[in-house]
Formats: sequence, structure tokens, C-alpha cells
Amino acid sequence: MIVLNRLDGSEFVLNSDLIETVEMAPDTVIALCGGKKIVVSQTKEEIVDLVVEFKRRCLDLAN
Amino acid sequence: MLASLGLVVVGILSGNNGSLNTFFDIPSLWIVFGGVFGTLFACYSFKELRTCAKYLKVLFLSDKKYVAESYVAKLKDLAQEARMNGILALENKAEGIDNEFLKKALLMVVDSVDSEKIRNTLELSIEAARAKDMVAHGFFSKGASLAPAFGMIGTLIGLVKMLDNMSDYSSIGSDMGVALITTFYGTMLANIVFVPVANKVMLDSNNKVFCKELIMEGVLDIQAGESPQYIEDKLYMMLSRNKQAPGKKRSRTGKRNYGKKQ
Repeated sequence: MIVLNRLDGSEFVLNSDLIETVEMAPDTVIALCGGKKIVVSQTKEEIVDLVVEFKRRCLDLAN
Repeated sequence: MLASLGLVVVGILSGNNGSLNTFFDIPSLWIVFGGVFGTLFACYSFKELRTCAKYLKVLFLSDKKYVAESYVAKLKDLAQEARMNGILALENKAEGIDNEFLKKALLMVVDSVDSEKIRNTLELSIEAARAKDMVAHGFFSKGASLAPAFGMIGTLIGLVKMLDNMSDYSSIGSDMGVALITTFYGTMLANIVFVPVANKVMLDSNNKVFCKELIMEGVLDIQAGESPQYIEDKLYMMLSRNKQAPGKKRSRTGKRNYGKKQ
């Protein structure tokens, strides 16, 4: 679950497990498992970092 | 329409005793035109009639706003703009666009509306416009079926009057002629005016719906960041598919029946 911003600035939380691909075109487009696509303002590197951070937090809390 | 009317007049005037006078009868005109339009006005509310009147101009003008090919080029251009400068750059481009539908679609993309929501909103808009077109088409179709019917009524009136006056041998011929004139007016009105207008309204409506579908698919693909070349190819394929079977309803999931009869 990562917090992202749409192009108009509004925040939302995305279930990162559903992410199939992230592309820059040039705005960042996330393709989800169901075929849906979402445009966000974070770059693809930022999204990867957010997911890694989220997973790390999950593992930390588990231990 | 004027051509067919002209040819009919030529047909009347040629031949031995052709003269336009035999075909002109005021009471018949009243019966047919009064009857048809009176009934049509009774069938529809005043608001719907006003909408239908706007469609009459379809006989004379082709709606230049909805040429499908021009939208393919425009959408590719918009896709390239989005590719180079990002989706938000489309906001400026959207201001300069005439077509209300395309403008609305682009502004929704710029407002970061979810793609499913954009699709639903645009589809509802297409259906609403289509429903209005169908009301107008129904109006002219109804006129096309009413006109010969009122022609028949006129013929019956004429025949009744004639049979009533059977004793006056000299007028039987002309009375019979007058009786048939109403059928003539009725069928002419139906086939020279109502049928072509109804058909044109339908074709125009199909074209508009198709153009709007092109626009919707193009704009959604722009939002999804597809390459301009892909968008252009996809839209050209939609164009050619529509040329082969215009106005045919197609399922969105693209379920193919491979030519099997349904």
C-alpha cells in the first residue's frame, strides 16, 4: 500500500501488489493487473522506492 | 430531393395531355398535409418537435464537424503533444478545440479523472445524443408511414363523394381523378420528403456516434500513455472496420464471431 499523487495533486493509496508495469510516457503510467491504467506524478524510481520502503516496514513490524 | 421532384414534374408534363393543373387540387392538399402534420403534432410534445425541426437542415447541409478522418489526425497530434510535454500540456491545446465532445474528454484527462469514469461519462454522453437523434428519426419515419395513409383517407373521401353523386355522369371522371390525387400527394410526401430525411438523420447519427467513439478511444489511449503511432494505427483500423459495416453494434470486449451468422 503506497501513497501516490495524481497529476492534479490529490493523494490516494494504491495496492502495490497489483502493479504490473510502470512506464514514463512521459507522465508516469502504472498498469495494474486488471488492465486498468493510472497516471501519477511520482517518477518510476520514486514508486520503486516507496514499494521497497513499504515492504521493509511490513517485515520490520513482523519481527 | 429537388431533383426527384423535378423529374416527377417532367414526367407529368410529358405525354399527350400533361399539365400541372390536373395534379393540383387544394382540398386534397388540405387533407394530406393537414392530416399528416396534425397527427405528427399530436404524436410529439412541442419540445420534441422543436428538436426535430433542427434536423431538417440535414437535407441541405452535411455536418462538416464530423468527418472521421480529420479526428484521427487530430488525435495523433494531441498524442504527440502529450508524449513530448506531458498530459498537462493538453490543457492549453484543449482550449483551442471546437468539438465539444473532444474538449470535454481532454479536460477530464487533464483533471486526473479515473479512466473508467471518463469512459462511462463519455459513453453516457454518446447515448444521450443518440437518443435525441432517434426521436427525430422516429418523427420522420412516422411521417413517412402517415402520409400514404392520409392519402388513402383522401381517396376514400373522394370515392364516397363520387358514389354519392353517381347520377351526374360528367363529373365521375374528374371526381375519381381528385380522389386519386390525394394518394399521389401522400405517397409523394412520404417518398420525396420523409423517407430521405429519416434516412439521412439515421446515417448522420451513426456517423456522429462513430466519430465520438473514435475520439473516446483516442483520448483514453492518450491518457494511458500509448505511443502516437499505436493510436494512429488503432484509429485507422477502427475507421476501415466501420467503412465495411457502418453503424453495426460491436461489443466492447471485442468478442469476435469470425463471420458466423448470429
